[in-house]
Amino acid sequence: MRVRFWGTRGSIPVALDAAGLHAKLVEALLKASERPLRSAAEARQFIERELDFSISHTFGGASPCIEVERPGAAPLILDLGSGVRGLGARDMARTDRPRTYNVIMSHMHWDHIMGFPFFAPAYVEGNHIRIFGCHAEIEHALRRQQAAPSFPVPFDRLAARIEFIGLEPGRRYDIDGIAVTGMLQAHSGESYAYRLEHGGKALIYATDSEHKLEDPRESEAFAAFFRNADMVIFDAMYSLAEAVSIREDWGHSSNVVGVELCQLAGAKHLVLFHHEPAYDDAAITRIWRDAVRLEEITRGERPPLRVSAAYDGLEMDV
Amino acid sequence: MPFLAHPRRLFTMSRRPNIMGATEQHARARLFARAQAHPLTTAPDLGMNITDRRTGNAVVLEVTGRVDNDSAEAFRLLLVPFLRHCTADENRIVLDFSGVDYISSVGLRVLMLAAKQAKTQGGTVVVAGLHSVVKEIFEISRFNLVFQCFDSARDALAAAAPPTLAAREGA
Repeated sequence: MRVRFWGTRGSIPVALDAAGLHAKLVEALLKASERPLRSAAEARQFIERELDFSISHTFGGASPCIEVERPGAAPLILDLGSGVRGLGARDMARTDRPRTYNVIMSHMHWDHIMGFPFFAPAYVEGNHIRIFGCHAEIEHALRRQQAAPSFPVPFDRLAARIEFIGLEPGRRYDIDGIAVTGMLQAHSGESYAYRLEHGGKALIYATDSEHKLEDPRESEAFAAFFRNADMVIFDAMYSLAEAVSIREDWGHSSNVVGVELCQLAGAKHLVLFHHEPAYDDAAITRIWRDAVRLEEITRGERPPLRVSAAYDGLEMDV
Repeated sequence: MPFLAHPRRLFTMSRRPNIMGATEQHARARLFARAQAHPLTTAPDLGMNITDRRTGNAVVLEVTGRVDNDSAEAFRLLLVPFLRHCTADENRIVLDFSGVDYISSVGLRVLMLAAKQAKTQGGTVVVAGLHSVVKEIFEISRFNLVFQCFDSARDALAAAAPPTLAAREGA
């Protein structure tokens, strides 16, 4: 499975603004002034090798959307945040032939559905969009956001064939060759994590989830769900101090709990996701470095846990 | 008067390799109930000890071992009687972590709850003696921004109230 991140920001889309870009340029030029760069190739090499990610790149600001790609299979999309607009634009540019999309919804908060009205393949007759999920109000929420006066095109005017297929948490389903199991998470209005298994590999999508630390059974249940996963995409929106104090009951988690649950589960790769919109690239980089360091100092006799921070455009194989 | 006289060992618990199942939880609930009723009871060793040393209007709780998913509930219960009397005027709590090797998110949450309760009563909980791994965990979790952290219990007491330090040193 190839995992492609189209949107990684939580709550609301954000963009790198002029001041942020200016600050990056100043830092990059200062570093570059230490040596001559005689060609575009040397400049690219300098950017990749010598600049910190937070200077040379940006984590991006589209809200949650992930594509799971397999050769010969329909794309599987996890959530319809603003990132799905880019996915649709890519496919519209590629071919006119009818396409099928399988979509799995974690929950129906706005940041996870707001991209659908801008998903161009939904407007193309002949396309088939199958929307799966454990949440009871998927169809209602998607229809409502396109109802007047919020949007000019009502849901019923979408030309693609759109199906809604409910899933039960805890039951294993086959969705176009991928085994999918859902699990209820603590989040306002309910959200669901999913375990996707294919070809002996397991991918966990567990965003918008608060882990209530007072109940060991809760941790045990999630560790079992994450057991031996090859990749865990995890809500790491806040610091632990925030998550258990001023933002308690806001429905999100931290990099610290992500590392601990993955260690408990024997997972191989933790991917920090659903970044706080108030954080700039430097702040998200710090959260990632902190998680890497926490894993190092608490690893003990366990095999290493790889830790990454997702960014818009990141692609990784599972 | 000896330095930090009359320590009391309150609780000792053994560490278990796996997170507990329901049966173990029930056993631990009984264990904690017994410990609450008889604070000097020594339970099977979970790898965490707490001793309290009263000095002036403060109490120094020396914690040793690991405050992890197994021992955090015991840690929480052991703080209860001290928190009950932690007010603006007396029983400021200094948690001496110089003997703590590790603290998990569950243990940190216990600290947060303790600080919240103390604050509502006008009292204070501070942390002292963080070192190596535990110090880094505080920084990574941003608990260093929430708690006043002192290099040592002595520094914590000195910052809190000079008369307390004087009493502690038997001056």
